[in-house]
Amino acid sequence: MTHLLDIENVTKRFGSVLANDAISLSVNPGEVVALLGENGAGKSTLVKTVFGLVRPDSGKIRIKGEEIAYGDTAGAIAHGVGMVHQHFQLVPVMSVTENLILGDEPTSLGFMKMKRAREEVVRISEKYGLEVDPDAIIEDLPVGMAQRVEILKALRKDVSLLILDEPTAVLTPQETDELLQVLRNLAKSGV
Amino acid sequence: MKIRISYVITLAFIALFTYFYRQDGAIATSVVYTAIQFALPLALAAMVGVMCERTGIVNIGIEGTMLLSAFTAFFVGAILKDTIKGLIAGVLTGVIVGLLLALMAVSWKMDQIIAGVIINILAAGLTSFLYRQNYSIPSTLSPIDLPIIGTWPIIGPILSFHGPITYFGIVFIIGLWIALYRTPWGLRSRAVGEHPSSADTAGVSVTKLRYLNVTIAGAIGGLAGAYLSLEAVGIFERGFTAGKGFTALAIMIFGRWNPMGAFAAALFFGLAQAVTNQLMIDEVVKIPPQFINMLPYVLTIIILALSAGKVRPPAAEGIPYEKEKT
Repeated sequence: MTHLLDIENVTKRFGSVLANDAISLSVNPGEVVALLGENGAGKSTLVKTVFGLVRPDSGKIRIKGEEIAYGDTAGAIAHGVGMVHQHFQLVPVMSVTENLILGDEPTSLGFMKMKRAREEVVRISEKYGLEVDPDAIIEDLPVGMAQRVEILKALRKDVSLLILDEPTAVLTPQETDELLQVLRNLAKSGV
Repeated sequence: MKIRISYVITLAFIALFTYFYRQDGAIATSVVYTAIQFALPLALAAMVGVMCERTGIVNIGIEGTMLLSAFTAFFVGAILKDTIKGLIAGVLTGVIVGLLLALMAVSWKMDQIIAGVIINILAAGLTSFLYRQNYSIPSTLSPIDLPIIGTWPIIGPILSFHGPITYFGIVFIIGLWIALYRTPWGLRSRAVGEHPSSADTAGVSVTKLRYLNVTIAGAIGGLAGAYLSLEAVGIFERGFTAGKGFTALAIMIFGRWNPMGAFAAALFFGLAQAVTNQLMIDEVVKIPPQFINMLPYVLTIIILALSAGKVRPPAAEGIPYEKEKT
């Protein structure tokens, strides 16, 4: 059986700092893998490499056995990789719906269909049990809520591999428990 | 708050207009007609600002873009004896200046204020150096008599008989307004101007979108310049744009980076200028014309002072996007 994700000998240097030194790692479907390490250990660099935000100096990344091009976010998304970032990648002044459809907007005749988009947001938030108000503006939301939006944003794109970069760093203990429950549910549903 | 102020201004305008229309209909309509002519280059120039700043690029080179385009539009039109070819040359000049700004601000990640200053100095220098006297274009772009609307009372004399750039400009502004809030391009542009890394992680290319918008904006700046030399007056002189590109930035802020808001603000500027002009012609007020010519700049200062701290520009404006920093 092919692994969902294969990282082979990935090395990345930032100037004189060696962030990742020949790292290899495999992940199977339905698995929840946690990367532990101190500050500056290179966890974020590694996951950003998988998502195409960082270009590795050497090494290969394969998703479902297929090698993906480096430094290509759109390519990673097309291969079913979703990422929840440590610093939320949400536009603060826009609504939940607008943030979720950004980059892949439902349209007809070139115009955005906000009603259809809103329905879709409600549908996926119910499907994964992640409740959000589709009309809320991001900057008005508490951090835990904003993170839900981040997770939904990643899940919307048919992901098979969901990467979370330091997901608990910004959360309260209660929010952390909720998050871990959400992740277990997701793993069960095959992400 | 903003909406209420604009209601008050609109109502006050309608009341004043009705009063003057009853006194002398022809003058009242011609003042509003002139106001549209004053407003149009400001409105188009403000659209340049809106398009650039919404994607996060500060463009203070609008003045230079307009000056250079007015120059090439006029002299290409005069040398080839063809106003339409002049118009095309003016728009192309705008596109080239837009690409230059994008190159400096997006690719080279230069300070965008300096990039804009470079464009302004370049335009002022080139147009002064290359300027020649005794050239003239065969004709200005001829006004269009609108069918049906042209025969309506009040609205006809105000809206009809403007030049082609005026009508195109009005359609463009409305189109830009709809596109900015109703199309994927608009949503992505606004996201890039507010929080570019969000757009990038969603698979939107920040670089491509910034290049695209700054270049289209350049074409519109070129059109605004061509309007001045080919449609409004039919001449070109040194320092021809007289700070309109800078006034446009104030109009953009007054209109809160919204195309329709900026259009309304430009009309307000145009109206203020048209009314004072009329008062001078009627000799109702006896002020030296130099003071009247100061009016746009005084209004600019007042508006900027009033809106300071109350309006919020796009968050990522002026900051070059660094991909690996996210």
